[in-house]
Amino acid sequence: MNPTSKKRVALYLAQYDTTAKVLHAAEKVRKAGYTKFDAHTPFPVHGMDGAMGLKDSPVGWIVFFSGLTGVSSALLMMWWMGGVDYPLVVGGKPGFTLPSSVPIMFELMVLLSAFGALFGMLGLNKLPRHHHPIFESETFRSASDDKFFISIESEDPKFDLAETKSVLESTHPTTLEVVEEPMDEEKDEASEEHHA
Amino acid sequence: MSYRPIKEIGEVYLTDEGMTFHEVSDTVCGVTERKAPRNWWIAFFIAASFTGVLGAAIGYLFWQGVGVWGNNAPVYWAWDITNFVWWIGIGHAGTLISAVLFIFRQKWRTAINRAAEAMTIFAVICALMFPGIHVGRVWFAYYMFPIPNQMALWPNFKSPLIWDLFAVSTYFTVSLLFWYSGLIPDFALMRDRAMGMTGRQGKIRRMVYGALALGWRGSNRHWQHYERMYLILAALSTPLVLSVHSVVSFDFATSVVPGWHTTIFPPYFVAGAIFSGFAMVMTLMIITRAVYGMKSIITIRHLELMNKIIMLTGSLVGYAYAMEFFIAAYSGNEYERYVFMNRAFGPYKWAYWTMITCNVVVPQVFWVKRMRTSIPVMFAVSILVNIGMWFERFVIIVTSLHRDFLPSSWGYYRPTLVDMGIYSGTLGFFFTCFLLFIRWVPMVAIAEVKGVLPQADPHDASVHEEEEESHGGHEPEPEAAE
Amino acid sequence: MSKRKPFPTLPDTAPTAKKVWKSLEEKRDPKPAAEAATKEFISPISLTRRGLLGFGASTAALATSGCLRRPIEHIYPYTKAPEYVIPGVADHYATILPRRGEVVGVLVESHEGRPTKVEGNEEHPTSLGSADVLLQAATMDLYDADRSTDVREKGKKSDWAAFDKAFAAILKTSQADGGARVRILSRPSSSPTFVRLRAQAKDKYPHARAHWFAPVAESGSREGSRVAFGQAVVARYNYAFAKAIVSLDADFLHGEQGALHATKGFVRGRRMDRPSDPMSRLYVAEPSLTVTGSNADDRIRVAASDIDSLVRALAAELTTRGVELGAIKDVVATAKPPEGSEAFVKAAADDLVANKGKSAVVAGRRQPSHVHALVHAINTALDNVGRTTSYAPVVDVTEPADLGADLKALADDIDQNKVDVLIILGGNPVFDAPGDIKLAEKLDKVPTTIHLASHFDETSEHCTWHLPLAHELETWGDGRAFDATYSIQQPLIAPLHGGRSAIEILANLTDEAPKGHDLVRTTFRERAAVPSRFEGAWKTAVRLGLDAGSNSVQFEAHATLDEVAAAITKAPLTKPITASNMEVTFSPCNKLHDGASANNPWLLEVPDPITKIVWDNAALLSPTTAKALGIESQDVISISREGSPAIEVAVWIQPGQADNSIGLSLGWGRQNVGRYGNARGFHVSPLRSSKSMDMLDGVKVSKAGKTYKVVQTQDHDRMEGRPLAIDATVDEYKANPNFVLFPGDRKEEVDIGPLHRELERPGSVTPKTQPLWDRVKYEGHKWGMTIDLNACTGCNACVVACIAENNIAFVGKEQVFRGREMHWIRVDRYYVGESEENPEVAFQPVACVQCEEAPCENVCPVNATIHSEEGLNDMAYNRCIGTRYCANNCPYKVRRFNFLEWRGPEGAQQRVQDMYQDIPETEKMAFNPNVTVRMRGVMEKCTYCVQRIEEAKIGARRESRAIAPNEIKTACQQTCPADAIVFGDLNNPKSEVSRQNRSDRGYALLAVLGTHPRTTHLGKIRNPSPALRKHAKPSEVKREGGSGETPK
Repeated sequence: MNPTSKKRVALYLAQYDTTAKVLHAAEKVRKAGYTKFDAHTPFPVHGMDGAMGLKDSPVGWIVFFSGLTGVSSALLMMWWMGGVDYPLVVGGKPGFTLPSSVPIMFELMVLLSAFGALFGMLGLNKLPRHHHPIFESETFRSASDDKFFISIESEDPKFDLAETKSVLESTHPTTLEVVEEPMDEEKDEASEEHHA
Repeated sequence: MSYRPIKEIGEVYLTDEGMTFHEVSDTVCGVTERKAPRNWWIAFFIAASFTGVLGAAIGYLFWQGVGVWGNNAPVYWAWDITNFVWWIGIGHAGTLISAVLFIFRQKWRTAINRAAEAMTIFAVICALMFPGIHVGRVWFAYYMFPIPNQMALWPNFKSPLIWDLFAVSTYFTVSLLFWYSGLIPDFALMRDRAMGMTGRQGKIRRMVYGALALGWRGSNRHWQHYERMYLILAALSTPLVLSVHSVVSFDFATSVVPGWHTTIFPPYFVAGAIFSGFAMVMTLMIITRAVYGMKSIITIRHLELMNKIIMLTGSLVGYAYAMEFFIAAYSGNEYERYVFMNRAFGPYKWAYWTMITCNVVVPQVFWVKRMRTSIPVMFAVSILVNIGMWFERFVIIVTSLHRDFLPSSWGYYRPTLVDMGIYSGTLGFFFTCFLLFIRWVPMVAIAEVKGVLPQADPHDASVHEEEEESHGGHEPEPEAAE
Repeated sequence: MSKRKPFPTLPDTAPTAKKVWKSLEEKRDPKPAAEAATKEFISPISLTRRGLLGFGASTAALATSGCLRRPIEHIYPYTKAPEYVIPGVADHYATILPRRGEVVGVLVESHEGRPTKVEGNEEHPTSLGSADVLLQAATMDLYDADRSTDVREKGKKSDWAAFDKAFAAILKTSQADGGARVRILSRPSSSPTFVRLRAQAKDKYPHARAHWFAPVAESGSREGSRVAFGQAVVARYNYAFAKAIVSLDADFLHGEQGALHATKGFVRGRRMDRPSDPMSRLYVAEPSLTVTGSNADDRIRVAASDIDSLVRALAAELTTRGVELGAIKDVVATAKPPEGSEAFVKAAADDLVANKGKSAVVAGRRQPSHVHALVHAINTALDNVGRTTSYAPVVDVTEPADLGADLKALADDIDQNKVDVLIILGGNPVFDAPGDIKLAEKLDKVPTTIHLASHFDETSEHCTWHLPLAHELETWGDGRAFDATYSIQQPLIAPLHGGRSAIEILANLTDEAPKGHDLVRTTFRERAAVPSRFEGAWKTAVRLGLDAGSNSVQFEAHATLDEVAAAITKAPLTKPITASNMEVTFSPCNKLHDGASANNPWLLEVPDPITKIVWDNAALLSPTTAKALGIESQDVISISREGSPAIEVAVWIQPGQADNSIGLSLGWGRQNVGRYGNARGFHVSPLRSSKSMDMLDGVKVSKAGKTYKVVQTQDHDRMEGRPLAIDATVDEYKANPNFVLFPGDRKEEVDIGPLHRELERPGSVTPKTQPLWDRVKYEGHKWGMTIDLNACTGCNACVVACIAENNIAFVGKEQVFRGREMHWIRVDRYYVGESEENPEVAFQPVACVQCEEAPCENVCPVNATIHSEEGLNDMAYNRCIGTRYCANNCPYKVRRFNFLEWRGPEGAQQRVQDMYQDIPETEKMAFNPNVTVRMRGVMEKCTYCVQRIEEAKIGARRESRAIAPNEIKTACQQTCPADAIVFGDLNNPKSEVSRQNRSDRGYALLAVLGTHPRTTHLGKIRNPSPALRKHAKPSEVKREGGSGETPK
């Protein structure tokens, strides 16, 4: 680490090498009453949501409403353009006809729902975010490969260097480290470079 | 929901036993990190030169007009729309594998869904080309979009062509989103592996993959939303994939042309699409598997399962062909009857019987397990099926048009060099894209494969009892428990 | 709440008096003209729309053709407006256009002094308001970019001044010996001025000699009439009154003189408004299927050479039925009819006798004189004279009987160096001359040859002087119609290339000044009864295009039977035509006639009415003969005959062709006519012989071992049992007046709205399922059309009229082969009945039927084709992006797509093989300024001539009156000699169209699709002879009951 730049403790990072261990650890940490903690795994680990006591994801609702917008806007567009703004006799039919509008209504519904789903997810996850303090840790790079991590952030009300350490140690992590982040925002990039 | 090791399909593991998470990462990412093998360069050169042909042919087409094609009266549509439908059909398999199989929990999809989705996207791009270039006045093609113009006219929303426009572009967009969202965790992995690298290559990889990964850090709070989104996208794509080819079939089914005006078209087209799509996936998988030694991930078992689907859908289209004849005969409509007799015994019978042979007869070999599991056989079959499905669209479009109501206006269609140039050009373009894809993007959904490895299951014997009940208490996602 | 009404239109009280007569009245008294001049300012519509389109077609055309080039150079405001000319308002002038030995009266539409369209002159007995293929294409001849533009001396550019000087000198020298060494070669002319001047020249140069030659001539009929009546006359038949018509190798509906008039009469004699109406019966015996033959009720295939024996047999049959033929009786007593025609002859005889005085027997121009004489005798004996036949004197009595012989005489004189000066006035003798004359090398021997011709053609190449001939629309002239009507030809435009007319050249040999106008006036003055009233008479004659009542010189002539008998005895019967003695027949091409218009792309691309072949001619063989010789269509054969060089020509196997008889058509194979016509088809004249110009027997046929691509616009000839061109016999019609319907299908009045009820028109089972929405109600105008298949003779005049009116592009042979011809209206020709050798024919004109529930509209993604408030199926060219979906979905396949830039800037045009890159300036002058010229990538189709509808509506608005019931005529309707097409307002009960629309023969084409067409087809009625079936051995009966195409 670069000693010149001022650091502050960002989070504890505990590493495990099996899914079972990390699941177990997550349990413990939650039971210990921590709220601002997280598990980092290369793939979603079954039962982890329960272990961390997460609420059901609201993505579904976002999709529902964006889908609704899709249908109605499609219907509105075709009704206004064909039936109101410039009605024409096409094949002896009225300007606006519902049956022939169904396909486009469906397509627009799907389109907007899909946008809702992806961008809803990113929104809820506050992504993209390229400078999370956790990236300061070199060991964390394997989080996307074959290792499993529990992180407890310093913002957590129960966070205490000593006590939190002991809680984590009781979960038998393979490694345990304190991750610090430079306090200076613009230095951020530079230091990350340095770590690389 | 999360993955369990494969107990669902038989008792076989989908990857070779004892593969570690890291090995998976290495095998897949390795491809993009090593130098490209010589075969890749050869293939890329060939494909790229055909892409050049495409460019030239299209330029000529724009300069001279649609007349450089063989299209004529009464065959106003020919290879252009044939290719369009063919490519769209091919695209469908990708969505089907990634979405429908996902919903049905067919874990074996994980090995092939990434490549299949990529194929979808490239195929749809090829398809989208044709509605664009086949119009007489390309520079006015934007009239199709509902945007204000000097004539204050709006598009005719009663026209199946407009439905088509919306359907296909929606399909393209959704497929892209689906593909990309699946890639995010893998891009994160690529980013992290790049951290170790040095030199310019490492820097570029860090920046590019880093940007694409959106700062993904495998957080379980993210995984939760992510999986829900993925499930929903899958749930959306499933009806979408069915609707798209139905809408494409409306282009024909809603017209008055005998041979087009048929209610069987939507299901028939969808079946055909899946059929041809799987064949194309098969072709690509067999090649990449051979070139990049992915045998441990894309196992014979995967291919066999796909062959079963090919056989099924092949029989479905066979049924549709038969049904068309029955309906024509049963309808008592003289025009309808004539068109189908003309298909089988008229000037285009060669096309018709090619179609029957490739699509109905050939896939039946897969009843035999030895055939199902023999690489050369399945490769040959997959090629033949693609040819057959191209001819299916050719037969539907050209033979129906060339002899419709008034015998005085009957004609015969002959393709020109430009027709062929553009078709082979799209093939070249497709393979160019695909080769670039396997070169730079993880061609297997790494995170998903890891998820189906046995050691991914936290409920292995190694786990202590209290953990069992403790987490057994809150099983958050019912559908996770089969 | 709607911002815009579906159809924003101007308030409309209906249409105007017929434009045609309007302009003439204006001339009669200047007042209306003055009003018209002010009206222009009253009506802003005319100023904007007309004003814009008016000034020059190419402007409008190119401006709308996608901004490919900017319309700058052609816009000129009328800084000094000519009197009577209202910019954008077309004028019509009455004039005449020449035909083989006759003239036809026409009205020519002129936009700002630019003749754009030829139409029939309703007041002229020869056209009665209709025009044929050649007349309709005349403007394209005028604007032919390859017309000769310069005087040439020995092929090098010269000018008129030089020629006049040289000519004067030549004449001076030759005057010495009274012009003994001067010859004048011209085509037979019906122009009194021409004849008068030639007579005067004769006075001035007593020893000069005139020669006549034309590739297609009336030799036989003239000589025949001379035999029968003692003087050369033109026979004229009134087919309207004839109940039984027997045509012997006479294509009187298309190829013969007075065809337009004949067609009008013929059709009138067959109108069937109700089953009880009387209908004439037409027997035809001919070698090749002609337009007339395809309209026959009973037709047999007889080689041209065998007609002689057939007509003798007919005479014999008549005498046995008590017809008094005097001496002829014995001459023909032993005559045997040709193989297979016995029943035909008997049946014809029965009918002729049964309809004494109401019948007509006609012989074709190609038949020898004694056949004509015998036919005249038969008509006399049947009391037809004065009832169905009358006779008119010929204009040029000096014209010899045998033109071939006359040309031979000239050739021989040249060989004997008797000719120093040869003046060829019009025509292209080197190309047309029979092979045995070898005229080309003869011409080279003559010291001075002067050739007046429209093109620097095959003849000009061998002449000292070439003089550009002015087009008839550029010069003054006159002529007598086939019924002797004296007609005036007035120019509509100054000679584009400074050409002169034949009379102007000929005048140099007289004392008169070579001024066309004065020459014609002089002729007119001489025949004017009261000199004092000359001016008035002249004005009227020029306005009307004819001297009213001048055809009163017609008379009744009765054949002297003994003379005829003598002639027949003198003429031995030729050897019958068999496989060992094959014949060739030469007929004028159905489109190009004798080839004078061979560079006219409109004519080249319009399909032959019978074979449907475009851009070529071919040797027609019967299926049997072809099989016997082992020849397929498109094989090239070589035809030879001793005495003349062999020719090579592509074969087309044509049902209806007589066995062992080869049909060749003249006018093709030009080498030196221009960009479009060069090297098209096959030149057959060399095979002809000066002894027998029109038919030769004893020819040898051998395969040339080559093939040649022959292209048709319609390559499937059968209806496949579909109810398309529905027909029935008179008996079937009487038994079931609704024969056009399927059994159980009723025509019923269905109420489709408060204002009017409309007639449901099933042509087959109409869809029983109800539409999801009420049908649109058209309560203002409701334009509709009826096409009477019983009237249509299939002549194709409507096609060319449509081309001229709507600026339709031609695309070239290669593109037609790809099925890309652009004709908005086509005449489908179907073969009906079992017989492959001699099928019956059904013609069916099909243009856009303007479906009320149009399939094309539903599928257009950009609303480029939609319905107008009057129910027209409109195309918005500038909205069309060319997906071609509409054309796919059009069951009638009447939509046409501009696959390439047919007439665009350089480059694009190169695609159109054997076409030039860019459209020549002169051709642009032929455009109708009221019709958009379509660009590449745009769909187009019949509009019901919407520009004419709008013109009428504007006129009616101006005069605040209603459009008269039958005021608007579409181009196809206007030109149709058979009046088969009727257009009008279906909402107007007084209109002809609404009357015919309710005819029980009326049906909607493909009604089963529920498209509700605005065009109604009226079923065809045939009147086959029951007698024929009585006489025939079963083998000969070619028709069992119905055609097999009527819905059963």
